Amino acid sequence: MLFNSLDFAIFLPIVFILYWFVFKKSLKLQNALIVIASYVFYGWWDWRFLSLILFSTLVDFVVGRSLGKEDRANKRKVLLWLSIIVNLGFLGFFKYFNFFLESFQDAFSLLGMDIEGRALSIVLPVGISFYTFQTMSYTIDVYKRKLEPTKDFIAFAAFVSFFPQLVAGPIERATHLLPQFYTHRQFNYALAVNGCRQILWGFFKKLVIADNCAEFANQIFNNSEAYGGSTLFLGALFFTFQIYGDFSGYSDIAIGTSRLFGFDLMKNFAFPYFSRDIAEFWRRWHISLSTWFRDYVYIPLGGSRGSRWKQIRNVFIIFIVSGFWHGANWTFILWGALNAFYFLPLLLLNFNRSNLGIVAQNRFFPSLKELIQIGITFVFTVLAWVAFRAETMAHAGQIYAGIFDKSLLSIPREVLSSKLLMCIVLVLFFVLMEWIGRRREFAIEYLFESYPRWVRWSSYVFLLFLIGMFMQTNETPFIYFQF
Amino acid sequence: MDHFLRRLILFFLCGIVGYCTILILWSNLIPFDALKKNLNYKMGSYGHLHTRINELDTLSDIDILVLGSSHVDPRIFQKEGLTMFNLGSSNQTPKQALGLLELYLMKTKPELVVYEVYPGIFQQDGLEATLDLVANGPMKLDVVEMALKSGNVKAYNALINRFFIQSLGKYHNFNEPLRKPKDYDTYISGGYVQKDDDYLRDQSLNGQYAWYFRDDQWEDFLEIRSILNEENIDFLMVQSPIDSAYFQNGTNNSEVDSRFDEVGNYINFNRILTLHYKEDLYDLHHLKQSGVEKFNMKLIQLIREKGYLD
Repeated sequence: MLFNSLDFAIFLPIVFILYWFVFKKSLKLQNALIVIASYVFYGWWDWRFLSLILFSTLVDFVVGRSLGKEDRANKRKVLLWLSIIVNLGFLGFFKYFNFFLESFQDAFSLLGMDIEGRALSIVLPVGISFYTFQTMSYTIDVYKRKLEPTKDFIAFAAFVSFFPQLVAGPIERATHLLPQFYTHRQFNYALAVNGCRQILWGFFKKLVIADNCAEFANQIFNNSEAYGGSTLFLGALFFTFQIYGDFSGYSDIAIGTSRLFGFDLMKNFAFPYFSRDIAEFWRRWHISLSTWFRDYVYIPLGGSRGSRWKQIRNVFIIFIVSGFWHGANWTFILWGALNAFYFLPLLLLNFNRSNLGIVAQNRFFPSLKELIQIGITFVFTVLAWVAFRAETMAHAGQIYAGIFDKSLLSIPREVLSSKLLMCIVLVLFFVLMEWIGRRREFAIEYLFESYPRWVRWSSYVFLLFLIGMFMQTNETPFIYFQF
Repeated sequence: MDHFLRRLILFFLCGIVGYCTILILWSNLIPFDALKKNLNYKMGSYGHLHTRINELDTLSDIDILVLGSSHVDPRIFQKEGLTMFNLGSSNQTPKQALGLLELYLMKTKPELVVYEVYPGIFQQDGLEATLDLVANGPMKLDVVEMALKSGNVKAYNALINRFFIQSLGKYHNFNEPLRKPKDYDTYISGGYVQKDDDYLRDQSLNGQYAWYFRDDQWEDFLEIRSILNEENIDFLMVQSPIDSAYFQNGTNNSEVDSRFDEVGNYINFNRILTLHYKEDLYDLHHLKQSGVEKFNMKLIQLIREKGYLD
């Protein structure tokens, strides 16, 4: 079920009313309702893959319980690996089987050997990368004794399948989300109102910004050979806002929806395009995934400790694995590697933690230095997104060659139209709103907070109007569903 | 919780009023069409439906009523002594044809209804035609229902705008120009829109294709036939000629023919006339005036031969 569908508009109020009015008195029933609602939400897309979630849930629940009873280090390690192999096995099969097969075939054919093997027609289950990482966090934390194994299967199943964040995150940690299923939830008016605001802003980001930018990004990327450097760069710019609007919009809707049910999900984006260096960008972009890799891969590898060589190795591993997580394509690996190259000088010169605060903290306008830093970081980010969006490595190469050409300085006449200008106006409005709200959890969290209610409500209605006037009228899936 | 729900309901009510107010202000005050993305159909914007409906209000008792077509010219029929009205509208699908037929069948009392069954139209959701009807058609409950059922924000925006226009009496006072140079067309009395002779749309053949039929459009189409059967009005389905090479690229033309043959009397003019893009068509499936004349003369001949109006 898509957030931006009529089905969800009917589904959400029904679950909300059942949750707070019918099952309010029983925590167990509320959790059971969440499980059922989550399975309906997921099964709406393809019910057959519910068995995967259920199996993954069962495996990690049993492994968790066993880890709780087992003190012998060797046995504990076996249990941990059992969970990792099952979870990554599913992920590997559904997401990476064909990629590895084709890559091996290509590699051997370079050596003059033809390997037989047919690619399988595999449907990628929506959100498999997200819930797999979420359940693995539970088992790893139990293994590391950071978390007591749960005895409550329903609470655990609800944690794994919690519908607001099931298919595209934020990837929650068991230490943060699971305990929330143990405690009785009280309806919190302020939290719910804030959730509604965040949902509204998420829809604006997705339906207005992402979907409109997608139209131009798709047009330019899909016909890249016909365009000059300036148009290709414009295409990359549109994709930059598309992916941010799409993914952070999803996170906002997910976090906002969770608040309606009394849950607090972790922040996933913190105005990443206002970052002053790449390290700051990665502290602000897809925070739940970055911190997952940091805690479960980077730090166990030694992190930024050890020799220079080890530090460089760890940085490349973390970025390349992160890129590969997104999809079975060399382009994602290139995207990860590019970011590693961007990040490396900061790490080696110890500048990777120089911008920890909020840009222009007590001012409206940034300083010239900050503006230049933001601009440079943004351009690097835009260039990296080319690899992310390209269909193949050759496609990425062709676009990079097109961008770094003298035609970069020409006017992109091929795509100039009133529609394109309309999209630019919307993006500028969006950037302004994000800038104004950059100190908050999300841009409109305290929009006009000191003004009377009618002013605040008018601003929300205006946002609703902008959605109604500028949204794409066909249902468009979120980009991160494919990951 | 009660407080939250009360506030939420109040917000929705205020939101509806606020949304409509901003939409009306926006549609009237903002001069750039690009900033009205989801309000692209306005009164008089495409297809001359406003003029057509106004003319229809003055008519009664005609020989032939035409649905779903932009290729039937009443002047040619008039020369042959037949009164005809073309009730086509922009990209009209069976959904809109059914709505219009229900509204105007009793008024026009035709002896024969000719339905142009271009298969491509059965593949469409009909949104464009709904928007045209909401913006330019009669303000009837059926049209409102059609807009609401479309589930599309463009239709809702058009509906809100239309309510406003209607309530100010602007609809009836609106004089749609008969000639629209921007669209290269001219309205001809009898519901026909003639394209300029030198107008061409640049198109090329894109290999083979197969037609498919949406269930909802097909059901509405069958409903049209049932209504006409009940009223004892003759019903003739025609496929007007498209570019001959384009027609040949269709892989399921025979299936399409059988499907319509099962419904009733049907003539596929692609099997009778061979016309070509640029000579007789301004794109691969729209006739130029020369093509319209060839098609209409043949149609009249066959109507007479089959004794429809005897």
